Amino acid sequence: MDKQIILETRNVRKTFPGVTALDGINLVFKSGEVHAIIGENGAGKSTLMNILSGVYAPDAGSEIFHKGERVEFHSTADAAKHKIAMIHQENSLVQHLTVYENVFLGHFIKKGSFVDKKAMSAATEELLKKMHIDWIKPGMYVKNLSSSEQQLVEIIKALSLDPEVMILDEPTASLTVKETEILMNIIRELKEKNTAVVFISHHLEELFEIGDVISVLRDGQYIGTYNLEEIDIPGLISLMVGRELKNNAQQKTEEETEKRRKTKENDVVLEVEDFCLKGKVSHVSFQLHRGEILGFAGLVGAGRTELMECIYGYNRASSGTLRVKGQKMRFKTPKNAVKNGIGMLSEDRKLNGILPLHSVQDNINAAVWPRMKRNLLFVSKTKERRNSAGFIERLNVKTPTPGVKIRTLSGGNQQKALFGRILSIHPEVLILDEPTHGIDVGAKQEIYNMIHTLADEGISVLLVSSELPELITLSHRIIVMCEGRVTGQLEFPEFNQEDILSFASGTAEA
Amino acid sequence: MKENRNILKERLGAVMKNQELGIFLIFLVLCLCIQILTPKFLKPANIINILRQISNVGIMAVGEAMVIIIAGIDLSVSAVLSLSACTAAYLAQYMNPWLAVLAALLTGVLIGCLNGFLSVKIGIAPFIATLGTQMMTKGLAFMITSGIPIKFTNEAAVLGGGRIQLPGSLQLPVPILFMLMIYILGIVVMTQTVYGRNIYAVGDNEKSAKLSGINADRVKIIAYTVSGFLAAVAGVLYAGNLTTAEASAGDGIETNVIAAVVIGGVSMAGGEGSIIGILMGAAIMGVVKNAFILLNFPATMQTFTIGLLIVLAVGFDCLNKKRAVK
Repeated sequence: MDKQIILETRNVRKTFPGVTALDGINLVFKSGEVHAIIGENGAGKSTLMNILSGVYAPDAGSEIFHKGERVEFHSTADAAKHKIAMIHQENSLVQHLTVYENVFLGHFIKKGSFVDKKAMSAATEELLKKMHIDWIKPGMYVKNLSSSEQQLVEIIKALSLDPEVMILDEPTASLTVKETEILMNIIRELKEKNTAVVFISHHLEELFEIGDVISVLRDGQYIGTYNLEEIDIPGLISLMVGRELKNNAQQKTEEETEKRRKTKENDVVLEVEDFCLKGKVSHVSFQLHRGEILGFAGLVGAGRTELMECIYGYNRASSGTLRVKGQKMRFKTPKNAVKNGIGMLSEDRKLNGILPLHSVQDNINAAVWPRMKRNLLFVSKTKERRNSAGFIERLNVKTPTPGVKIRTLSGGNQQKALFGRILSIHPEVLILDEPTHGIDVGAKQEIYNMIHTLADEGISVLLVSSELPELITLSHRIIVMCEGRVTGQLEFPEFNQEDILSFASGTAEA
Repeated sequence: MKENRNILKERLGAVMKNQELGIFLIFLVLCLCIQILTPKFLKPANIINILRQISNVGIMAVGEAMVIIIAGIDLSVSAVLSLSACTAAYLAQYMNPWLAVLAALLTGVLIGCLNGFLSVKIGIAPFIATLGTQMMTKGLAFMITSGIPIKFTNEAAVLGGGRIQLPGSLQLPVPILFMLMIYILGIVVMTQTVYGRNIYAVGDNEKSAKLSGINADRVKIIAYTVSGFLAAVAGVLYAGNLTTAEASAGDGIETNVIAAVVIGGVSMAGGEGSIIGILMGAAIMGVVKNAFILLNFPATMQTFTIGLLIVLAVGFDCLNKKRAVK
């Protein structure tokens, strides 16, 4: 079938106060084609997608054509009229409604003046069946679903509109391996049904698996569109970043092996013994040495985050002993942990990390205001300025001034600022929970280098990550968890993905 | 020339983005309009009169603002005012009036603590928790007074009714002095101290603040306690000013307090707002009420106008924020 041009942007520009988010974007989206879009955080991908789905209005002079006709979207409803559906990076479901109510939100099926619950439920059931998702039922409440299940519901919701253009903004970020496979199949089906699919992801492998063409954005500029057969991953990365990146493969040199082995001879900084949290963590014990990076692998729901929150005092462990440098301790609140030199960067930057209304400076300083007093009562503004400026420089946080609100920064730069926050407390132990979640390749590399440097300086790190390459590159040792238990332990350099996965899925146990 | 205009536009934009300045401009324009209509407005005696009238709402607004900044709300302030006034008047019949005043202030602290405990430790939504304590508190005031006004005529009444002789024929009511002191203290605490930093952080993102090592529960409970205490202060001033106290003294005043806070630019979602802003909010309300009297407008229109003012002030603020996002 001939590929018809469904959506075309010409010279699309969008400026926010102080920043040009997009500058002259020309893209063509064709039916039956999976169009991947990549770029670093802050490159303008999400802004572009928000324009295509009617969330933002582009600046004057921008033109969008739908099947050859000039269109202007003033709202998502306008875009929906042209059969454009978008799945957002952030969850947009109503938590207190059922799955089918969410799917048909905005276009309820009616019988006379009343809502036809039966018909909606049946239609949702049909959609779920088509996608081979039998564990989600139409009548379930969304608030009771896990975040990845919610993401699937979101996708079904978009499908229920029978879209001609389907925009997916990092849909796999919170999906498990199995769910990602389901999504890939859905995309293949959409392609067969002649839908134009626009796909944004940081997982380049994924794009190569599913995509037809790929467009690269950098700093709001359109770099080019390429056939996926013509280009490889290193080539794409250098287009995205605008410079060559060092190969990030793990260095299994003798020197590195020796260095990582040696940290295990250092004294024990933190010792966890028999930690339990009802229903989440059961009988976990481990030791962390000075300067060691201890990785925690596992599937979503393995209890790693809960374990870390128990250690840090955000959650109360139901039993277990914690020793910090040989001394028995129990943190009742994170405040105690911070006082004892333990810092935590939590999962989900937006929800648990940034103070969105606060400036970059305040976000960096939030953990150390009590240490910045210039007398008994008052906080010293000079110390505040000095500390934040120091970390902005050292961690390469790209911000116009320290005074701008942190939410205006890209994800990678927000995360670097949050690193500044936990480093401000001069930690001896860092708990990093998914430190590079949803961050672009460039910033990721910077964060990896930073973690390596910190470990070299003698800071011990507990690293929770769902990205195996990340764990394998960084860790000195990896502990694998499954359903709250430790199922395996691996030592550098004997890490391999297959072992970790079989421990994580509970099919093998050491 | 064009460049100049652009710079001007940018500066104006920056001014409008600075919330306090925006509110201040509204306040100035309002004052100017009233002054043009009636020259009596800006006379010192009238200014003192306005300040005296806003002093109670103004004092309570400081505590209420702290509670709203941590994304809570305190509906009990009106009842605390009543109970505090009644406690002072009741106990003053039997003991040293200064001790009675102290006891009255203590009731405010206790109810504030209770509000904090119920909403933070038990987890009742603050609207419901303080609605409950509001009625309980008012009920206590009724029980103490048996529903009959009690006289408060003793030396402690000077707190609310006293006047300080200024040069010339002017007299400065003591409550104004209290209000100014509380505002200065409030501004210093909110902008200079660790507690001030913490309160904004907790209001902005509680979990994030907790993970940064801030004791969010304590920050919130203190905010409720301060709100209770300041409402009790207002109660003592009320009793002194009117030399009488009754259980219905504060009825409905919480809406005025919350109005001053939101006109002053504090967001109900928490994390934003300033003490200077709410002083402006209280002042704007006071000036409008005063203008009604000076200009002989029908008093029946007053409530409507204040309501309109809330909608306009907050509406403009919302539009501004929307524009900044789009």
